[in-house]
Amino acid sequence: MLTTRRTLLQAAAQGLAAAAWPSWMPRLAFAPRHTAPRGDVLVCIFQRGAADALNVVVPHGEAAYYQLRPTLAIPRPDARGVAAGARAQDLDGFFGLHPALAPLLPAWQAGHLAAVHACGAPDESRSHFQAMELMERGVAEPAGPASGWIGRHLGALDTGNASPLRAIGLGEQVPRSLQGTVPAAALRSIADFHLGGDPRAVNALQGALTVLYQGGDPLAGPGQAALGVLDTLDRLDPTHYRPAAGAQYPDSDFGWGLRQVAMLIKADVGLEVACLDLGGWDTHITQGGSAGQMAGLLADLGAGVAALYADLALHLDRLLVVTLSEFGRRAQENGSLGTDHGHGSVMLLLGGGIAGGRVVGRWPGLAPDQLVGPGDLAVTTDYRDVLGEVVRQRLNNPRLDTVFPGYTPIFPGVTR
Amino acid sequence: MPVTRREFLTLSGLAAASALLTACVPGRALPGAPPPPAGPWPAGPDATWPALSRLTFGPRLDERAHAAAIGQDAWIEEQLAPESLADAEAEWRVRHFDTPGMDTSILFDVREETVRRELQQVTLLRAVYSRRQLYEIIVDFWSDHFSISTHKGTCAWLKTIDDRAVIRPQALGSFRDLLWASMHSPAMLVFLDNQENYKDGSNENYARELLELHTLGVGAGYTQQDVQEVARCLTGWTVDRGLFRGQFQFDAGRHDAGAKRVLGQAIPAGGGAQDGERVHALVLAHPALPHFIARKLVQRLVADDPPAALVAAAAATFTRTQGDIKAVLRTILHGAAFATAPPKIKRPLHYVAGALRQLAAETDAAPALLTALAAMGQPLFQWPRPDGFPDTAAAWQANLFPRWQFALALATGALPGVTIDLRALLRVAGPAGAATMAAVLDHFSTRLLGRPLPRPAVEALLPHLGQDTDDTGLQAAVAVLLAGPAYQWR
Repeated sequence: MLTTRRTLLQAAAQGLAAAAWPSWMPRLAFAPRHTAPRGDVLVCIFQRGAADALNVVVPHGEAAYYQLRPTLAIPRPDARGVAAGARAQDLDGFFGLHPALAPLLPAWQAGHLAAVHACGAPDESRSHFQAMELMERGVAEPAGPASGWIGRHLGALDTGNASPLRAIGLGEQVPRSLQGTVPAAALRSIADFHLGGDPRAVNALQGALTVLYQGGDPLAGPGQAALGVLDTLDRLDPTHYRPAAGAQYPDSDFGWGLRQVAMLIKADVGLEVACLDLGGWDTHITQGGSAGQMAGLLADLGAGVAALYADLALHLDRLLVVTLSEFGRRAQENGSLGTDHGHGSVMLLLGGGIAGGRVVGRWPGLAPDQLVGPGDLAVTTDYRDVLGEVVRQRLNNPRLDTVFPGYTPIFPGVTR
Repeated sequence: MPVTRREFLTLSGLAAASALLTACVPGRALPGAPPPPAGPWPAGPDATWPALSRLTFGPRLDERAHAAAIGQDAWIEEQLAPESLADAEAEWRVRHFDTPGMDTSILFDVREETVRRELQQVTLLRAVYSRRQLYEIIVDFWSDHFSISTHKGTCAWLKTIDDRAVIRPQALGSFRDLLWASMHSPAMLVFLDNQENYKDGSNENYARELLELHTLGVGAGYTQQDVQEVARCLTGWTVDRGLFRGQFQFDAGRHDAGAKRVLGQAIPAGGGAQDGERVHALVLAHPALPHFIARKLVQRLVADDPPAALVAAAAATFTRTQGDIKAVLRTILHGAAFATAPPKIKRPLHYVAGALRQLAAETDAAPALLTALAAMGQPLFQWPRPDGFPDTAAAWQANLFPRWQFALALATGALPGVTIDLRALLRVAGPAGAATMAAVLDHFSTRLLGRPLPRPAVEALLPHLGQDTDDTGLQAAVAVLLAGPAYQWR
């Protein structure tokens, strides 16, 4: 049955719970959900624009790295004539963190931070949009489910949690990865989530919306979620939130986003997944090395995640931070003091359940015959191997065939 | 009241003079602005409502009456000839802003923030006040198709030039010309790093998006090699930074003069600027182009999931007419699939402009409106990626709350720089308009949704709205209609 404007209007206005789901909406298969207790809170950070993996976790033991990057390379940890704060921060004698990520070293030393290098998607398009979309959908080909991998995870797992804050996207739009059968809320700031004005008008509006968003319209789910969030957040007080001693969030959108994630985790309002974007990684020109454009982004990332780690020191057993980027960048720097689109990337994982203090994955090398395509780091670990292990081992969801359809993850051993 | 040509010229002359004095004062009144047309109250349901709701930013009463009088097909034809529609009111309002029409030689002297803001403001004003609604809808489409963020490099200034020299003149013309203009657009070349693309240091950013986003689409059969070869063809396509700042420049000294091979075609050495022009011809001749453009247009105008048959028909028209955009639109808008199209979600610009139009708001596009658009996820000309603001319901539906906040603020008169007079609107329908809350709901539902609410809906809402039709009662009723699910669809 095709839903006409008229029936849609009527159904929406009447709030008919029984109204037929319009045939033009994508139909979703209803598989029985797996029931399990809530696992870790997943904080998924997407570095949009393709972060330069080779300058995030630096292969300082690889001579080719320095030949390919005469101006952009991060100096070796023992480089002479370079300030210590401008050198790679050694991890294991071969890899080192970019110096702007130094705030994460305590988590590394405590065994709570791991990196998976030469990690990524099989997609070879080197297109931001295709690669981001496929990664957020958790699929290898444009065909297949349009929903996001986190959306399918939430849809397949019944944790007995009906909170409207089960999944949130910090930002203006809900990220593709959260799209699915479970409505997720887009949230810029807890304080923004407020209806102000003449109390009579506000009460009338809130009451009427509860009626209007009852059912029949495809927006009923998102509308109810928004009303639920409104109700929950009315009872929180973000202005008086005090992070735990020692935790200093950077004064950036990203830092403020993480601060609110910490607040929601401590308030125990049912948060299972929070997605944050950190953009600006498409460094075709003037990328910089130990300092500069990309170093500024890494400083935001490092300081933010380090603050979250310190703030949630008493909740580490249920914290799981994952970073993703759609692909890495060309091994050789380009003529604009930047790097073009590449292939292999790096993921960072932080949390009490992470088997950290290690760089995981097979390192493919940077010699000419070891690079792939136009001169890119190879992918030796599929990102779904890492996420699959996290979903199964830390989020208690065995339905990996639903989360990553058509793919069987091989766990690389990143969890305890 | 129509403004005569003489009055208009007088007004615009005054406006040009006063603009210098008032351009930076937000929320100022526009003395002498023509009042919004009141329009006759509709006698019954509008057969043209679905089309008007899709092809305008929100049908006003006068537009509904006119479309009903001449018929939907004639109305579409009228809209497809925007130059035949006098547009004094919108132009009068736009002329209060300096930078959109400012000569390029002095534009760069204006502060970046001002230039960025004014382009947003005139875009919103045209969406609200222009009679050339379909034209503005299509301009909005191409602004996304050739999306440029004003937050990169000098793009705040250059996008103003791109808007008036690339997008608006060609929006209903030929795709051939539009693409040609975009390839020569300084804003595009800066936004996608082509000014950094030269013979000894290639940068393939623009070359890739030219193929992927502007013409062929990912998966169209081109290869990484093609991207790199297109980038070589476009080496030296850059922007003048000197006397002719803001203008396209071909820098032969930075052009890679060697032979290239693009999409299977050899491009001989020594072609100079013609290499890039050859790329223009090759992508126009590529079989993937008509389908790619047709599909995007159908998705915007008809359905998130575009009907394959209509896409094929529109693509065939594109091929037959060599990319005549009006002809492609005729195929789409006169097709059966358009008449039975499922609802599309309103993007924030559509939602905000529609509410302002349908409530006959008086505004000079105050900054509060731009802030509201940003909160809803559509800060105009600031989408950071070159793929443009998303078009489908899935991308927008979870961000309803800022719309509710806007609905409440607009209805209660809490938006600085925006004036609506709900009681005056009620008088249009006669003295009975405000007698009961049910009558108020019927009235504003007819304005906003095209018809009165179904009885059960009125019954369900009355307990929350009460019976008092004082100012707060009217405001609450309008806020509820604007915030409800039905008004999110077009």
